[in-house]
Amino acid sequence: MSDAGTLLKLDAKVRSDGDWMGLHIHLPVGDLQGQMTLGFACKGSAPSYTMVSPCIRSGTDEGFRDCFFEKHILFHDESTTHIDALAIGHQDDLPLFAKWRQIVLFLPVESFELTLEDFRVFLA
Amino acid sequence: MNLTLAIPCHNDADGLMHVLSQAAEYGIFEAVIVVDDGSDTPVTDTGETYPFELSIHRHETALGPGVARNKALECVKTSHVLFFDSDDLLSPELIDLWKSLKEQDFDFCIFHHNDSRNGPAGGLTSEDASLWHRAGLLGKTPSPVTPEALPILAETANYPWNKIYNVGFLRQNKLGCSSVFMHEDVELHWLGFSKATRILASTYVGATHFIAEDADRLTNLRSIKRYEAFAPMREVHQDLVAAGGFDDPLTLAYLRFLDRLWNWMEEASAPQHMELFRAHKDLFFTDRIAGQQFEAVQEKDPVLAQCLNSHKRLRSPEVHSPRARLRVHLSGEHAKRTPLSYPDLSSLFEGSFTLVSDPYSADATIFAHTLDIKAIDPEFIAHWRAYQQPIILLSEEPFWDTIWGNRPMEPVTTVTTGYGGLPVHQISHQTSGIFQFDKIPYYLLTNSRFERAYSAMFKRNAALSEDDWRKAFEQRAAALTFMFERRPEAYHSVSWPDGDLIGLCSWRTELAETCTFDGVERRGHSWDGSPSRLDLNKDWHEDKLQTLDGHARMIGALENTHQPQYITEKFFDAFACGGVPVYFASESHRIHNFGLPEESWINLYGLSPDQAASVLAEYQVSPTFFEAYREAQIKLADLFCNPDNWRAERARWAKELPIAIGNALKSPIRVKRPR
Repeated sequence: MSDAGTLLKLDAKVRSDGDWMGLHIHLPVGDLQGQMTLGFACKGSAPSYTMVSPCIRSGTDEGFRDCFFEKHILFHDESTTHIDALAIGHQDDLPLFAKWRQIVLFLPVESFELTLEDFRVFLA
Repeated sequence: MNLTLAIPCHNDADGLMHVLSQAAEYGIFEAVIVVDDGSDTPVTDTGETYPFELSIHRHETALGPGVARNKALECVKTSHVLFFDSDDLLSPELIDLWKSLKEQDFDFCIFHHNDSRNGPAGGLTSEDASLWHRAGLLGKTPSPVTPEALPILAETANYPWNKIYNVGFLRQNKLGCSSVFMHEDVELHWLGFSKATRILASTYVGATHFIAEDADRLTNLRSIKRYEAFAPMREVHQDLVAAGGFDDPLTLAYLRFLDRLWNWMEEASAPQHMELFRAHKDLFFTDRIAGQQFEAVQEKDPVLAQCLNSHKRLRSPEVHSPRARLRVHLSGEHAKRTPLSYPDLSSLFEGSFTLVSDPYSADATIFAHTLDIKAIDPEFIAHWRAYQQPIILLSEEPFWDTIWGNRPMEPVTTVTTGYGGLPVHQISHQTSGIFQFDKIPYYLLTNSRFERAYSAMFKRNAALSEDDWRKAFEQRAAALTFMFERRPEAYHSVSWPDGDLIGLCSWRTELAETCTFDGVERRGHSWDGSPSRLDLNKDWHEDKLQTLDGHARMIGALENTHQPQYITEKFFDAFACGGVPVYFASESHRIHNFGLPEESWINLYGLSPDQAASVLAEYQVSPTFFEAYREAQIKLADLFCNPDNWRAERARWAKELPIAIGNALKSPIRVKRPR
């Protein structure tokens, strides 16, 4: 359940070991040709230090490729703003054409709470 | 009560005759015993009549002054004895001293002497004078030495001829000199202090001691005979430990004495004997210091531990601290600005930390400045993402914490880097008790130049009278001198009221620019284009003191940041240079703990730059100012001229910094993270 004024409130209870957990957000941009930058800005908090690793996942004939942003996101008890971007054409794992794309937020593989107050993607 | 003068003599008939004639003139000796220690021409009784019983004993071959003194002691028939040397002189005040001791019950009485190295002015060496001062023994009338003063006084140079001994005390305790040619008096001196229950001290000058550099005297002998003294040194240590234990103040005082003696012996040793000398020291270390003694020294006096360590030839496992050392990596451009980095402090922590160059093998990475954390490289962040090794910001600068750190009051903060945020333990003036000094603020410990400069300047200043200060102030060339970096930018005006934390850079800059009355100076690179202190080819602090000494009536001593525990050299420099410090301190600021009269400095706290400038423009000393100013100088001299204060503050750091860092590591900042 998310509170009013927040985009998403996650309260994850992890009961067994796992290798990954991710929040996959569909990104309707298959063709990046002619664009310079793909990025996102977000705002959020967590009651204890919580690290999130964001990446752009691009669907290919072979499966998919993940292009990680340089920064991880560190949420903590004070609302924090985070911004990061990828320079298009300079990333081996970010093909200009993709069948589909997602922005994936890799989350902790243990129980955690996280509030996303805002999340915006930009392409320029 | 009656007194014998006991004099060993070796090839010094002229000196002996001189002392004998003095003894005859003084008329306080019942007997004089001369022990001729193998002189080439035997000492004989010239037949002259003396007002005392003269007896002469001879060793056919020289056995050293220690054996000669013991021989004399065997022959003493009086209640008291003064051991003397034929090449020193009695001083007339010895008569007054002896009269004042009449009918007093004491084991020995130690008295002042003139040291020839002081020239005609005489007096004790500065080291001994300081020890007497610290022991609080300032009167001519012999007074009892308190248990607190005893170990301090025992550290004075070990001479036999500055004490009148009760013969019964010496015999009951089987005390005497060692049978060695040099340093034979160490045993008598220290075991005397250890066994005595009634020691008196007097500032009467009873003797004049002559030091003739490079002359043919035993004292100056560079042969290996000097090293025979290591055997009695060991025995004395054994006896002191048996009497008081490893951490007894007298035992520790003895080790401080040995440290100085060994340094002196090293200088006096011929180069070809140096290896042998070091082997002796090493043997002493292994035999007497390693283990429990070293642990006790580390606990009580880490500076002494460091000094003793320097005498070790090889590092042996048993002298290592039993505590597990933390492996820390110092990182970033400002890494030289931590207590672990300054050469004058770092050795305090040798037993607690091992500095490693590889951050990935460290228990923690320590940064000094938020900027350095922001500048970390991708390799470091990748390692942190995988292993979350603790990151500590050990900041000595509230200025950095306020302008570059975003949460100066928090023990754990988050620093945003180019690769994501990092949680950081913050150990600073605001968040940790380690900066809560006892007597000496942290910054003054970071370089021994402050101790050197202040002990000399405040000793000088404390000797000046109110009238001296009045005249000096009349001759000051400037009314007010400011010397700090010009930083007018408004972003420096920050404050955290709950921490009494206020950025003062722009405030003090505005003040300096608003002060336009006659005699105001603004000095320094950012004001007048003179070379930056970083570009000086000499000690910047010495340069500052030389520039400001006796120069201005008021000296701007404003810190870059107001923080109750944060006090740098500025305030004390102003006093040292004979100016009135212009400062900014709230009621809770620790500057008030120094107990200096409020009238002796100017506090601009709570004023706007305009108001403060008016206060300074209208400032005039009151009729009682010079009394207050003199009192402040004396208090600062008491503070800074006492090496114990510096030593104790360093010892506090040696103990508390490892605890502070250890506590941070015991409370790891856990980060939930993706795999």
